[in-house]
Amino acid sequence: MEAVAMAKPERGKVIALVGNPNSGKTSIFNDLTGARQHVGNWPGVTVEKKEGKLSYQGQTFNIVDLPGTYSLGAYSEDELIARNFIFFDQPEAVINVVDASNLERNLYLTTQLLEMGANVVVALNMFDEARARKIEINIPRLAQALGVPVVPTVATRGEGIKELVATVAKKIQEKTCQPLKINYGTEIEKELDKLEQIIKQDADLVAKYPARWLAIKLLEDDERLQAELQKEGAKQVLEQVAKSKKQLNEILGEEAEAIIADRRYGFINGLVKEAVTRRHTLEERLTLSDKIDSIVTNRYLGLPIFLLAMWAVFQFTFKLGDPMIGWVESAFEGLTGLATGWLEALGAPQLLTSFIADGIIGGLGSVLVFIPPIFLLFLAISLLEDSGYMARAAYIMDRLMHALGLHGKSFVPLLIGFGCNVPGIMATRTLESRQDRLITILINPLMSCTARLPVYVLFTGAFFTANQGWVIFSLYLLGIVLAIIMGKIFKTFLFKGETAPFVMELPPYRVPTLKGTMIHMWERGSSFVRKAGTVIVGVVVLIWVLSNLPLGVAYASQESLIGRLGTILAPVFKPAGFGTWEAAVALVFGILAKEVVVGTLGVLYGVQEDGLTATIAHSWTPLSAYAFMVMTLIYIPCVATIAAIRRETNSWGWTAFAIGYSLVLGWVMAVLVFQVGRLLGLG
Amino acid sequence: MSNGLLPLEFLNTGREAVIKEVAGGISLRRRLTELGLVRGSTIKIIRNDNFGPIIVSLGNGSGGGRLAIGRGMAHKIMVEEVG
Repeated sequence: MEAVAMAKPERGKVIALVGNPNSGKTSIFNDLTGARQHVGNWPGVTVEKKEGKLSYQGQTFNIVDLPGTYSLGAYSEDELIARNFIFFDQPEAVINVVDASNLERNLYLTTQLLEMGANVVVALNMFDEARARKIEINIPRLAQALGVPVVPTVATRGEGIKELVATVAKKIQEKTCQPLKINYGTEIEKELDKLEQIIKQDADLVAKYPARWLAIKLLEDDERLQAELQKEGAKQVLEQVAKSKKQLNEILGEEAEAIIADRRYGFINGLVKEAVTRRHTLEERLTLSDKIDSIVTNRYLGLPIFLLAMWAVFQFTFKLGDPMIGWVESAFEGLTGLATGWLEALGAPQLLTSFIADGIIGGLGSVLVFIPPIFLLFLAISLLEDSGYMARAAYIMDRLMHALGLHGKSFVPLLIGFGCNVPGIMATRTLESRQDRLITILINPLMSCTARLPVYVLFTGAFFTANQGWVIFSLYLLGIVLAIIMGKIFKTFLFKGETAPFVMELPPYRVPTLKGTMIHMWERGSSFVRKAGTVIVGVVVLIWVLSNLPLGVAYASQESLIGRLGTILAPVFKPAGFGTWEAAVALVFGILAKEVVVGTLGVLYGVQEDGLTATIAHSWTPLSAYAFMVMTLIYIPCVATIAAIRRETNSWGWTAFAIGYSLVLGWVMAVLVFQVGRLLGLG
Repeated sequence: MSNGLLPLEFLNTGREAVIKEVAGGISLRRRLTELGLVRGSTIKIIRNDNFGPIIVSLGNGSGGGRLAIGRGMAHKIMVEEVG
């Protein structure tokens, strides 16, 4: 054993962190590494693999935070990631974070880890909460029954972390782990024996997996392992699996999987009975969380409270963010002026000056103005998540979201989309089902974000002054209706499978910690900024180049490449009533950020913003203006949103699909509005 | 015992029951299993509004976690009332 560890000293010893969502795993990770990491209360929030370093007595350990899971089957990507990491990356030790106040369910994961033969140390977290609930846990007895060390911790206060580290370090040195053997009953054990014998004849399999564990998983119908064995041609094993399952089904009148689960819980229940005493009666009193829930999730009050909370989030984000947007804008204007003056003084060619001022600084500025509201929005959302309220919001919205074929958890990302689609799309990470997540991402850009508002304001100001509010409202409504329709269509044609069943934990309410919330906000906000550095700059540069070529043309004039592109595209928009090259160019620029449409029209018509309304009133009609607003609402999401879609779907295919469908839908809707309007004599 | 089996969906707030059977597909059963909703586990209805998901408390020995269960699922979980 020592030799193996010595052979790869530069890697550092790897310790994996495994645990249920809401078990405080992330807090333990922060305690161990001091790294920036997210502390969430919403089930399933840790998606990425996070690493950190821990120094202890001159040794360095690599801590890997595995996704929060309830089990180690292969039913979700998270579970598979965790399982594969333990088998194939072979961490020297696994810290299993267990919620002491929720022992039975948490130990389900523990037993699976032990059956896999992982070198486990249990961190019995939230020990204070268990004690407050009068749950007495006899730690030596629990450790003895599990056969591994158990260390009580309170991660939020850093209690027990030193002992945990010392125990893990010692455990790594000893490395005495025997896989746990649960007795699954005579009939199943008999079949397991048969299977094990056959598995052991296959050297490749034995090298990868413990034989008994593999046998159990195969009886449990683990599709991934079955597929893997099929590929490797382990025919004999698979034949025996089929035989055993049939045999068991005949004798027991039930599928082996159900009985194995029963036995595993039976083992856990026995263990808990041994090690846990409750000084309180079994009759559960309603906790403070239940009392809050009886108001917050009340049938009649739930929805109004939720709407109020969301209203508060938006007020917080945009009332506070608006002045900051102003600061960023003037900062970038100042920067542009400064750079222009400086470059001109240096005698730089005009083209270079324009590239830096209009292209890079101007383009970045138009996107980075969103930083203040994005950070504020994430701050508000982090507070709601860390306090436990988000899980309740999903609960409240579940019924309404069923109309969309989605469930409650999809609601929050859509709602955030009204502020900005980028954080909206990022917020879909909390959805467990990939289908639900993709649909929620795809329809998110239909939520009319704040960047589209300036366009509405301009056009309604020119034509619909009497009922400006209602016209703008109708656009928001159109977006929602289209989202419902498209959601249904995607669900029906693209993802035929069943809806993921709605069961989720409602974690107890907690007062969010300042540190946790700030880390949470910073992580999400900064990832947006990092993105701004890559994709967005690329597009900005592209548009600038198109606006300046061929050499010598006026910036973004009809003779420039982009002007020519607009001229080519214009006929396409003729059926929608705005077949001018200016409109087409404005739409192309609008991909950069939707509010850029306004500024672009200003440049193209050669007027300042205050003269723009009059110019538009002169050269557009109310109908073509409305059709144009519909187009602006729907067509291609802005660059930042495209980047977010790419990042979150991790697929260029879905990104292209999101761009394509919205472009087609936008065009169809704009044409529909214009043509129907004309038929009704509104032209 | 005299009550027989009934779907979880029909239990009122405050009642306790033991799960006897899950009449769903394999993916549903797996999800419930990993959350601890298995045959033999005792649950208490914290809230059932006959509308929207049901909130239950789980656990006989030491539990206390709250789970929200969608109505469709609650229809497939067969329980026997106790107490």
